[in-house]
Amino acid sequence: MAAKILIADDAKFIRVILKNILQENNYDIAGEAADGRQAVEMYKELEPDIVILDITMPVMNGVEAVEKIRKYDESARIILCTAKGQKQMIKKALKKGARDYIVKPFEEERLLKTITRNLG
Amino acid sequence: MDEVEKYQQEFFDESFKYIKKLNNSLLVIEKESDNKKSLNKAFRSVHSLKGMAAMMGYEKLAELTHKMESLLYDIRQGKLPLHKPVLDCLFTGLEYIEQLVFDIRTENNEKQNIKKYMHYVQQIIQGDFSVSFPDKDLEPAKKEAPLRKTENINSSGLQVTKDKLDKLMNKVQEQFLYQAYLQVVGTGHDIYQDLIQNLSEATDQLYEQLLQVRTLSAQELYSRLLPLVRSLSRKKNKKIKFRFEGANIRVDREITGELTTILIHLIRNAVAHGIEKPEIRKQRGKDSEGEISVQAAQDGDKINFRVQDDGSGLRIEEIARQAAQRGLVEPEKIKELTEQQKLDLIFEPGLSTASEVTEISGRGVGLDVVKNTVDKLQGEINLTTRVGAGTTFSVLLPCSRSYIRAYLFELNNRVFALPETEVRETIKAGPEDLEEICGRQVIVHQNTAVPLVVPGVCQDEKKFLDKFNDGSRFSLLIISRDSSLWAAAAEKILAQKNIIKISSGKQNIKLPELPIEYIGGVGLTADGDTVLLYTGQQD
Repeated sequence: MAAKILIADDAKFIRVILKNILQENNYDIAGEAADGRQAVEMYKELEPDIVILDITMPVMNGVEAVEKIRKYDESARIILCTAKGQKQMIKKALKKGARDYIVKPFEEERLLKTITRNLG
Repeated sequence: MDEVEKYQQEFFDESFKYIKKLNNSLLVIEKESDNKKSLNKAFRSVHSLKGMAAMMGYEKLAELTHKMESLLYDIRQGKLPLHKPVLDCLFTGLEYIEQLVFDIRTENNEKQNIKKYMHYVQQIIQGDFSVSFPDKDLEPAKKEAPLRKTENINSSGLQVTKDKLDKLMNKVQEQFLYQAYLQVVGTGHDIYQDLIQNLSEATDQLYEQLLQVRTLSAQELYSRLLPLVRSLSRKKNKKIKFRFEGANIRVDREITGELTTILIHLIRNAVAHGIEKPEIRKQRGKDSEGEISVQAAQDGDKINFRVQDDGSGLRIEEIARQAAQRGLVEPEKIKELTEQQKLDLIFEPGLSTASEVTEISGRGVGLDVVKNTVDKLQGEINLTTRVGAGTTFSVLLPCSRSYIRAYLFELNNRVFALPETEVRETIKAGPEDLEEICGRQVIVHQNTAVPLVVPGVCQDEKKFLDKFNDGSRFSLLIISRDSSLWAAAAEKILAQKNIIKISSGKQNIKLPELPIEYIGGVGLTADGDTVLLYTGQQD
């Protein structure tokens, strides 16, 4: 069965790109969240195999969302998705239990590699 | 390349959204420097723009937003104060973002040079607030462009012509009519009742949404003006605080174009000639920072926009003297003029375009243009001024070009409207006051036999009268139309109100057995209620 992926990014534009790439590569899109809180709620409801999480989002930022998701599911696989220049935030989020990160603009290949690496 | 095209529209839609968000949050921060929430919002908007630009390979935009993000980051960390130099830098950045997105959209190329700005931000980040930014760096050819651009932005990248909107509006009105028809044929059939109810709610909501599209809040208008006034005051080296009030007032899109022109002219004049330079203000014992406020308010069926400055004010005698010199008024007549009349000379074309007058009077470029625009909208413009204390222009405009004053009345749970100009009077009556002549119900009013008409779809006059057999009374609106009289039946007259007439033409809808063509369209009250316009019998 294809892995289920939850996408969380407040920019619809980025969600669309992610969705297209993932669907073309036979992943299931479990859902799309537009802010951190939504991401946490959707994670609990959908229990996806992997979350791609933007680091700066409204309502609840990525770092907090990582913390909440990991609290709910210790083994949650979270990949951060961020534009460059967010090292501090990435470090914090990795500390809270995010597994990996990709930097926008990401290449398709790089994204897919990161996902497979973390699914294994 | 087709990857780019595929996502481009999405990119524009989103960019406009974030530019608007950024603009709004900066406006809040400007007023409340400790508003963390808005600061975070601004940060997020810039961040999202950066991510999107990077994905699309728009390098300048990505670089610019990255820099602005760093600036916002430092502000958020408390490393930089949120005072004017920093705010100016942020607002200038916003203008650059707009310009780049505009470039990309129109020419698919990031034309705008950002080097100077990048350097400027760097200085600000390093705490060097002595720098001020050369305004000329932004595309000189597009001086008026910010307006055009923001117009696009404010419609979230979606442009609908008024014509299309009107067509859509007409369709909804048609739907109102079908719905009214259904109400009649469906009466008594329980299974249809819910459906009809739902349909009617959906139509109402659809219509309301359309009206939202048709109108613009003053807030949106203000956010269009802001980039302009900001760069203006920078250019003139004046310290000016802008205050906008009445952000919730809604303006019909039909007049927003002209209204914007008017406001720009007035604000531009206030900046250029009203507010004094900081050092002069100090000499005059005023706060070195001047204030220009724009206040919108609903005034009955009109909207009032006031543009007020606390600048140098107008020298009335000087205006009169200049007017006489230019032959706009005979010198000997000047003495007979009241102060207000002298002041009003400033709207005369010959006077207000003259540049030297501007210097003397402290005001006046293109005020004839303003006056003409106001006249075109059937509005009024007034001004008051005090030397040394400032000038206030007050522009009074009809909410919409198409509003009419009307009687609202209720019949069969529907609200109808009749233009006030057509209603000669309203009377109370009971069934006993009417008699049947030649098969028609007629009331004798002032020695004239006036036929009864029952508006809307429930046209049966007898059925209407039967409802009042218990001795209760109803109202009649005596309508005079095409030199004949009619008495329109109403269960209750609700009010006299201004309504915006949405469609003027006849609908040309043929519905079997129902003289529905008497409904000439839909009106809207100030409270947002929809009413059917009764046009009466026309054959």
